[in-house]
Amino acid sequence: MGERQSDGGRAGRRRVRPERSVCPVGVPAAAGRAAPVSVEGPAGDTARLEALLVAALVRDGVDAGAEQRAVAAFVAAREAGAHGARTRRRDDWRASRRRFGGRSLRATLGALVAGCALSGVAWAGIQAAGTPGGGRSEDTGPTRTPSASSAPAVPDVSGTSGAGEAPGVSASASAAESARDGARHGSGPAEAAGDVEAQCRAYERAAGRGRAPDAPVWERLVAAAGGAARVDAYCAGRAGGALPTASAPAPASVPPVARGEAGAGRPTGEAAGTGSSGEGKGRGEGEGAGRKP
Amino acid sequence: MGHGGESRRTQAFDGELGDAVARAQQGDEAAFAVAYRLVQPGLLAYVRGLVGADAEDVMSDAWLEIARDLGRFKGDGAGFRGWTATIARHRALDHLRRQRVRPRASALEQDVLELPAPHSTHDQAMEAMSTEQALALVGGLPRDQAEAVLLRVVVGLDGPAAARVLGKRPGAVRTAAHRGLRRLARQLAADGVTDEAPRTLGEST
Repeated sequence: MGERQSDGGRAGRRRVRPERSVCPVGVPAAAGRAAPVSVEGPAGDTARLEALLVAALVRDGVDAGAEQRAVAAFVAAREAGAHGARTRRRDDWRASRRRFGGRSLRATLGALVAGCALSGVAWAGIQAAGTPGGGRSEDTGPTRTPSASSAPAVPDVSGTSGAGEAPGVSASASAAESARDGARHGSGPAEAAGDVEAQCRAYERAAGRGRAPDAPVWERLVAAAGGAARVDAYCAGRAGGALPTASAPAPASVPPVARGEAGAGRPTGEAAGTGSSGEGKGRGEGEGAGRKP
Repeated sequence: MGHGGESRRTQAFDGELGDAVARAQQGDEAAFAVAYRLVQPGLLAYVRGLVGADAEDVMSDAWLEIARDLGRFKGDGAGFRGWTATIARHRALDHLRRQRVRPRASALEQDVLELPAPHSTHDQAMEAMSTEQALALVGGLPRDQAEAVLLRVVVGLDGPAAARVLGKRPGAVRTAAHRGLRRLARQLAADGVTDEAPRTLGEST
């Protein structure tokens, strides 16, 4: 477009000069000769070019001999009855058929097929997300949690304090095996201690590689530690043997909150459990941060 | 983009053309002659762009077919333009196949390269483009662009009709016509019609 405009401007100026015209650009003298061209700018330029082409290529008037031959052929065909012939598809140039029949049929079919395909994809997506164990997305973690792991785990914790250590240990073991997995899927409030540990581990590993850990893990860890700057100290404290002492008082306070929240299927269950297994202050912030999303 | 001049001109004729065609289909040979006179100049120019100097012969063949098959045709004046252009194009392509001559390899091109002589000013070139010069300009375009430009500008077809004649999608034909016209404008704006000059000038602006 820019090229054409500049070209047009140049052409216009050059054309205008010999005619002593005051028109700045784009109203060429040739306009009157050919088609009505009064537009300025690229469109006018195009129209002028078309007028030039027409003037140069189309010769008005026809060869009389050729016309007579054509008419003679027409008469001959008429006499021979050829004009009653059936209309083929390529002979039908009616606007309605051409524009609305053929095209819209194809467009309708295309839209139909595309709609079916898209809705199929959407349905499959919904199915995959709703199926337990089917999806790997973040949302499915909490919804799965109550039915799968927290129901058996919570009674253990809330029941006897002696048994309370067992799930903590096993959870930390399993979490240690798959730290990232455990942190992501959030296997429940009962495994809060191991969860935090796993999160700390994941954080350290990621920090060692110079990367930020997974966003949800990091958020939970920050919430539990009570601030991004205190994560290091928090994790160090956890690693330094805080786990046994923290898990002892935890069963008394955690289960009511954690069970209720986990039962409701909200993602806050994890955050609350994480926080409550630590200090009271951390728990409050953990809940607050967990409810936000 | 505006295909202003020619489209308006042809649209003004299309009503008259449609009447003539309808009467000719009733058997009126005078009306057929009217339709011939309305359509032939544009078609001849288009076919000349395809086959060069043999255009008259090709169009004679085409009109024999048009006269024979007129009863099959359904449509208005604009449709008649498209229908006849399709027939003319088929005849021209047949001719080219027989001759094994490519449309752009005609002797015209050589003549034309000499036409804008060094002393001929740019203004003369712009205002009085000879037929040969214009043919060479159009012939210098890629085939699809040349045909799209000719069908739309010279025959006066709209985008969908030109696309149907060419057997392509309307969008492709519109793009081809647009590019062809832009290229022609660049070449005309530059001095001379040789290929080298406009390219360098066009890029420098």
